[in-house]
Amino acid sequence: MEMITAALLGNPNVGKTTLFNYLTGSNQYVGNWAGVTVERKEGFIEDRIKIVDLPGIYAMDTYSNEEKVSKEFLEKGGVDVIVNIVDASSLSRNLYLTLQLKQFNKPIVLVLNMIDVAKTKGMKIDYQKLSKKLGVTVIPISASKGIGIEEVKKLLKSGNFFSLYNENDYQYVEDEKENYKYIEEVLAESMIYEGDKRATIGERIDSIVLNKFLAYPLFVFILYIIFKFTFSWVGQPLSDAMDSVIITKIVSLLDILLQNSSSWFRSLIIDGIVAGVGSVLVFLPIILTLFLGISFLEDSGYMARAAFIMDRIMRKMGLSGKAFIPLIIGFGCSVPGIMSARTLESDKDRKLTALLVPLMSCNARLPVYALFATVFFPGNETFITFSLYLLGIGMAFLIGILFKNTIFRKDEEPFIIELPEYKLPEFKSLIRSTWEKGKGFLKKAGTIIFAMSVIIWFLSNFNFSGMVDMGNSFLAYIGGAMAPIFKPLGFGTWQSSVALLTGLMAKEVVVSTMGVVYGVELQKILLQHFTSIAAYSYLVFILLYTPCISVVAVMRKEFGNRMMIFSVLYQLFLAWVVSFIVYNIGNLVFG
Amino acid sequence: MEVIITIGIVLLAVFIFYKSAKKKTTGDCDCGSCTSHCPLYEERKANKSVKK
Amino acid sequence: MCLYDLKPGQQAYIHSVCGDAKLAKRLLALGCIEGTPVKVKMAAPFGDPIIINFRGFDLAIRKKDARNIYIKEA
Repeated sequence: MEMITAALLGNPNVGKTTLFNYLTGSNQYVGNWAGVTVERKEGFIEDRIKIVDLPGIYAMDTYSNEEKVSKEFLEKGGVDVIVNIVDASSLSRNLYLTLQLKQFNKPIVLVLNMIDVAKTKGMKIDYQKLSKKLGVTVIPISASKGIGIEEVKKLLKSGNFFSLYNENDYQYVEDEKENYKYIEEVLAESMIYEGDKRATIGERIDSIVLNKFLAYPLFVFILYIIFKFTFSWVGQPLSDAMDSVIITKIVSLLDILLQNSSSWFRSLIIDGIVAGVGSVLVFLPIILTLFLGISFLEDSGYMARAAFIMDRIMRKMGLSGKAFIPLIIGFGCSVPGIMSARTLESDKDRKLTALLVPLMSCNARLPVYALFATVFFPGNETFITFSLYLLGIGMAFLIGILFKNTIFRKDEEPFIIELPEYKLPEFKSLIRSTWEKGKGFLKKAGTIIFAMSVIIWFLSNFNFSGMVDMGNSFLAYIGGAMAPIFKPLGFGTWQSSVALLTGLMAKEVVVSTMGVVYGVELQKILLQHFTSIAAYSYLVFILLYTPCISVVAVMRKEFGNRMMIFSVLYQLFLAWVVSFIVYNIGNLVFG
Repeated sequence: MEVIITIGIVLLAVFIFYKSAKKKTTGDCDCGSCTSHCPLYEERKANKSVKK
Repeated sequence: MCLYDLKPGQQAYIHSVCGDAKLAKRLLALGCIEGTPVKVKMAAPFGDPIIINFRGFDLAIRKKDARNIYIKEA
């Protein structure tokens, strides 16, 4: 049997990806804000039906990049059927896209999502009539509750959508007013609106979180709570437990096991692999908790509000509130942040945003902060880490203004963003996406961090004449050559310098490098090599300097060599200058 | 014995390093610490399913 | 009169949209067309952007763009 291609289309944030996940059994991330799906993605039902999830769009003809992707696919992708998912509680706007989709002369399955929400809003929809009126197949579902999904599957599998009535009594015209007039006629016959019965909880929340005086403090407060959750309440205690119980046990166990081995072999296993991988691995709970917090915010619908209150600030940099989304994504990892800058409309917007994304502190930097904060600022971990994140945001803001007024002179882009309704994030989906991240982190620890630890162990124990004291090793030599550059910043040892270099592979490797060169008792030894101010200066440098190779490569792939070189150099320069200032002012004030 | 294990570990490490470095320099990313909605992640998943 | 002149909580009907072609097209596609009831819900902390509501959903737009949405009383 031939493969059927079904294109999944609909407005942003109507549950498209949720439906996609249900239909294909995959695990794509779903967020409660517009613009989560940037690229199209594919999944299968029983290898017979290919489902293609396209970016959420409001219409086909308003010149956005997402629309281009969708339109091109509908025209050239060999689409057999369009699955148009609509928000049943906001039909008139959603059906506008449906009318435009009818122009493509393909069978349409209209999936009415959120029928439960529509009901609580007091809307009664006559599905039969709607189906007849529009000449499409209508299936009511509630994707978040898993209702009606089987019917969609069944229909797609049966292939019956081809033969269903397709009376196209309305021809789309190039006039929005006419189209909406038609939609209103359809709805007048197929829907009864009894008035909204719900208390408007959303409006009440908005009146607080968007309040004139409270909005910004609340924004900072919410972020602070997430950090508090991560560093004081849940993540850090778990990390400490993991460190003291698991890692210590493994080390003592290995010590016994390797009693009779030669000392160099014991060193490779314990000081190399266990210290290198273990020093990073203990931060797994911290990463998971922070991620859980951010997922909660994203699912709740708050992020669009954050973009809303940030628009004012973004505009100072000449960017629209839409550019806020790549920046937020950058908190996870700069690579997807830079890639999602694709959705911005002007070339200048894309470039400026891509240059700023790496200043958003990514997850990979978190283990470094966590390590230094626990060692040098016990009791103040939350504050220290939080201050670094804020410093990154502040720097992005300053650099944005600087670039806007020098290399990227440009006009303002228009900005509109839909504010989704608040919803309580679902426990299951939170756990699922958090687990995905955990898996990714473990994989990273098992591959690149492991490999780097072994390599670093060799470089730190050998030179051309064979195995030597660490102070004479390759690594000490390389680090020693770099160290003078960092002396004015307060951390001129070869160990800290070389960790910055190895950190280019992945920022966590900074921690594993230190684990290898300082040994398993890392936390105690670190205190001898840094003053508190130097430690903070080091963290500032880690925050701002050139991110990992992946980011450099993606910068090149998306924007070419010149942009790549520029971004590397400006970040190195910025990191040096800011660390210098922080170190010297810190010494003046606290020294 | 120790030498053999060591050679095994080193070969594995170099192999992983080489693979990962190659991947990274082509702009691919293996950051598992990736956010929620990684366009790249989605692309890769899509490619995978196509191959199937 | 335009949307810019409405205070939070006030309601009116759309008359027409002009200004930036892309933005106008988008607003029209969203159903911001003549005769649609529209309400200004609230403003961001510094008074800009603002949240408007029509056809049952909330949309954030900048005040500058709100100036290009003309309205009429019932």
